[in-house]
Amino acid sequence: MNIIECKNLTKEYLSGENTVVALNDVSLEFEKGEFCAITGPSGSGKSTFLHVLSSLENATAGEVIYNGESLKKYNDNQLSILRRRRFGFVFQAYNLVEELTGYENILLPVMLDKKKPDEEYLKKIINILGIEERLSHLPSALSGGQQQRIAIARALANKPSILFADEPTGNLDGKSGREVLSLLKYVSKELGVTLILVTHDLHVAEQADRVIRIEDGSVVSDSKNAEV
Amino acid sequence: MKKRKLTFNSIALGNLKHRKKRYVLMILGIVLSMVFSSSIIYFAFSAYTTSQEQTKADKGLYDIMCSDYEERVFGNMQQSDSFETIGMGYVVGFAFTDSEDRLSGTSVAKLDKISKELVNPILLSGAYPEKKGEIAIEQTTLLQLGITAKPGDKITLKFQTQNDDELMPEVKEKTYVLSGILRDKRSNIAISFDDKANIPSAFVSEYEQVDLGGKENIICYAQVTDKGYNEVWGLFSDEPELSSSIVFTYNEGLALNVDESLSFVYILVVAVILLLASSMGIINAFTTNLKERKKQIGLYRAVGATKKQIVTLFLREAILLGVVCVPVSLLISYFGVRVIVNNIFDEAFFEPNIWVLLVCGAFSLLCVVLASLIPIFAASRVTPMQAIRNIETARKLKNKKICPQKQFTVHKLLAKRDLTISKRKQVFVSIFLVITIVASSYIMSVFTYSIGDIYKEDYDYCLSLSSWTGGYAVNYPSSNNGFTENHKQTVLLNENIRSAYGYKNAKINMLVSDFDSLSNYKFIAGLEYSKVPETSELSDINEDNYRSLIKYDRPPEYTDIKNAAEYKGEFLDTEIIALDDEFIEELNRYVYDGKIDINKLNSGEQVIVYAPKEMYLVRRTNEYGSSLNTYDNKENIQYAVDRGEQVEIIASEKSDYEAGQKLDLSLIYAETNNTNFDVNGEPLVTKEDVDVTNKQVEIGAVIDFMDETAIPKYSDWGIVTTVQGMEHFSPRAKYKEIYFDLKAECTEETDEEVKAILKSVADCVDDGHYQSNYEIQIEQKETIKNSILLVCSIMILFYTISGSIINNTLSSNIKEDKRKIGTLRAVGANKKEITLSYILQLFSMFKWGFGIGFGLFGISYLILSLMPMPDIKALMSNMVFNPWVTLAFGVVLFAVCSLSVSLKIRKEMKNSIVENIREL
Repeated sequence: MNIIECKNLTKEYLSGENTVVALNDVSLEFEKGEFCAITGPSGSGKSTFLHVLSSLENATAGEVIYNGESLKKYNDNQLSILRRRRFGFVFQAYNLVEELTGYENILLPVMLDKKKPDEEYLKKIINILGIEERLSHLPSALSGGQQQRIAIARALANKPSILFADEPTGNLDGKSGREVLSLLKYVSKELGVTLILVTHDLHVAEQADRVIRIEDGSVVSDSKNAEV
Repeated sequence: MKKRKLTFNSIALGNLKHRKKRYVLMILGIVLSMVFSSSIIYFAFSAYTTSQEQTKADKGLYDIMCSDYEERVFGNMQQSDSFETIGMGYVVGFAFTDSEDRLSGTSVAKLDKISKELVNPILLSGAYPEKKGEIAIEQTTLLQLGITAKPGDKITLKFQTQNDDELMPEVKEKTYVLSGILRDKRSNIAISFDDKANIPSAFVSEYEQVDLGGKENIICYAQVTDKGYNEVWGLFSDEPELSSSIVFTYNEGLALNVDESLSFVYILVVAVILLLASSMGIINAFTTNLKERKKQIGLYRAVGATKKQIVTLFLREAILLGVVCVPVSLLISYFGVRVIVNNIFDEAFFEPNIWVLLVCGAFSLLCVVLASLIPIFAASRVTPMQAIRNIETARKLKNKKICPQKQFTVHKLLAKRDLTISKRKQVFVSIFLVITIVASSYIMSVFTYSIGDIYKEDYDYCLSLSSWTGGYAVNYPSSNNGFTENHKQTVLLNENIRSAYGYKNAKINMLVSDFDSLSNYKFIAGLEYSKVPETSELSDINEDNYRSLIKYDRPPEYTDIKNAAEYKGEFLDTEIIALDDEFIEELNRYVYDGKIDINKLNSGEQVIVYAPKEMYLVRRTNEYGSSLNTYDNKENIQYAVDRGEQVEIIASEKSDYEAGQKLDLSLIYAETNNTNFDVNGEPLVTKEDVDVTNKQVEIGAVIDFMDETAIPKYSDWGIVTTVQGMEHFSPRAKYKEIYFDLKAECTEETDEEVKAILKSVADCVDDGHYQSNYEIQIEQKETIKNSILLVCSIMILFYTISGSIINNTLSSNIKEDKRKIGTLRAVGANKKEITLSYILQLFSMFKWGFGIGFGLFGISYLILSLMPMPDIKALMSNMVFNPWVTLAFGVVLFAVCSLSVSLKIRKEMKNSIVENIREL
């Protein structure tokens, strides 16, 4: 069953007087619980695809369908609610709110949803990610790996259906990168979350259930279709 | 490829070019701040200079002029600290044209160099006399003399030669060349006929000699120092003749050193506050992009620029900005003030103080230069790498105690943490709000008083005399000047006029056998001329001994008058007021004994005595010393107490006037020969000149009327009768004032019509003039409209700069928080949550600013109100506690700033989340 799909996604940017096509008529489907890696060289449009798919950016043409419903008719507020409840994001630069502690950062989507935190669930994630000791620290007092773990915990805090990760290991050293990746893989399997991950690192992509390669804004290969 | 040389100037210019939009906003902020302060300061100083120049032009630079001046006193004056500049004048004679109307004449004087500077003669045409036989005369005097001449024409005047402090009896004709026509001064200074006779309004050259047989009368012009007028009176207290010949111009403040003048100090304080506010605005404009600038400095440092090079770079940039902003601001201020001035003042008197504007410009330029160094000082505290890397928040939070929250409301927590980070900015904005609130609350308090101080006359029109007086105890032709019944009827003929009522008055004496036999009440009421013998101290006087220690000290002419009128005993001088029936009816409510019988008043059989129910003998002590005074009511005593004076009631006596009592009244009329005027214009009285009417009357009613009536009274007690009754005392007395009421509401056409009639009547009477209440109301409305415009402009300027500072601060926060906004959006925060977090920060700034500002205003107002110092009391009496308009302005400011925040967030959220979170 598809949890999210896109049809004919096109994204164009204006660069001076020229129009740059970042995504060109991309149509893809993602199943629930799937771990999918999107790869491609720098500037290929893989991050843009992730951003458009996750509603961080609007498409120039085409549509995204979540759980059978097109996101086109969602207004800004509905998209905010969708992001806080159903989507989780992990960025390359962690993007933690600097003035909030680690725990407060994790709680952000829950508090935005005005819900009581599920402490047992949060404890479980925190344990898995191994950040119990760093929760009261500000992001500036944490290492890159620790910040990314906090970011993953934040992305999972509201029990999302899909976890979008944009080069999550890009800013980390080899060891930390491997740890973060295995954690992402573990929690997505453990919690049944769909993981859509953008990376240019083939070693990272190798660990995914499905690998999609994008070049010049178009899908050039999809391991799922290859199997088919 | 064309090579461009990289210099500090080109980098600075490049910065300006590449950040055009940001710099335009910055320039706007700086210009706004500069215009704000410099225009108000420029206006205030120019208005101050204008009022001083206007006073100098209207009255001259001197504070007192004394005639009958002697060398001996001159020595005393020069030794006294009370005088600053003393100039000498020499009266050579008295010039007039109409023997029947000597008071339209003038003393003719020549001035030494200093006195000429003090008199400040301003030529309307022609030149100041330089040769013998030339004369310059003030414009109005020339008209009163009935001379129509232009400079260069020969004029002939009747002339009495001066002989010391008297005039020689011989009247001769003298021909002068009219060298110049002078701007009026005497008519602006003179408040009595004495003054008019004393103050020369015609001047001759220094080569003019007094005619043979005569002697010049020395007059002295002097500026009084800040030690005040009390000392001047003290100096002349032993010279009663001198005291009576002193003319005061009431130019207080003009003679003082400008920095000692109180109003100048007020302006200076306001100027400093405004300059501080403006410098805050300029600094704010520079610190708006502090973070970005610090990053830029870090980058320069990282690639090897020295601190000196960076300082040079930023200074060049600041100077370039200054070169753009300062002239623009000064020009806007200059023309802005001109527009306001044209609406408020008579432009002819406006003296622009360009120096103040230039000082403001220099100060602003200095602010721009200093403010430009702020990012350098801020950046110098971090290493180049720290400046480039975004670790600002971490650095700021490093030493702050953060309490991790287990549950929280997102916008509240974000606002709280942001405020912790930007504490300094918050304090800066709050301080500015405090200044704004305190300053505008005081401005509004003064303004509320000034617009509440509108007066409305009880009548629609009035005919009156601009100056009149009678001699002591005697009526002269001059004191009978005024309007006749015919004049009144002429105006009443106009169909718009419903009623007319007025009053006449005359000097009248109450005959008593001797002063010792007077009751205590009558003794206190008659204390106008009193003296405490030198053997006694004021402090020795008490309720038991005041009758023996205080002596009546009648003026020198008392005995002359007594002999001329052939009085057997003594007399107390007062006045008799004749009122039209409308006024008389009003008096019924003030009767405390007897009743008003108009018929008996008309027949001259009865009179009304106005006498306060109780009289008080009071010892007042203030910073200048002690004095004895009489009061007719306790409110006035309390007023002296409120001014901070020490007041002791020595005695209080209840009125002993009763209906049915008989009074011996005597009215003296002197048909004096014009040649018998002394130098002060005071006629000399002899037995042959006087016409005495003695009359015993019955007191019909006794009234105690206070100031709430329009009926004038010039002494504590007196006699009142009807206009018809006056015929039995002084048939020659004329109306001093006549009031007219309209049948219907006044319109512009009616006003023009009535004024034309009043003018024709006023022109027939010496010193006669008219007043239109409608015109006064229109003028007041115009003044209020202009004042509201001015105050609103100041308030709007104040709040605009506050708004701009707050807006800049929040804009820079929002700009700096772009990435955070993106992150929050990515994790599901909507616009409302994000906007609320900033509005809460705004609210916190306002909360502190308002709390401290209004608290400070309230407390300072309370403290100032309770202060006993007379100056502070006088200052506070010109204010009405009014923080409400400021509060309303503050609420509007908060609403506008909130809207601005909301729009900025909206603009930021128009970008996609990815654009928000992308590293710059």
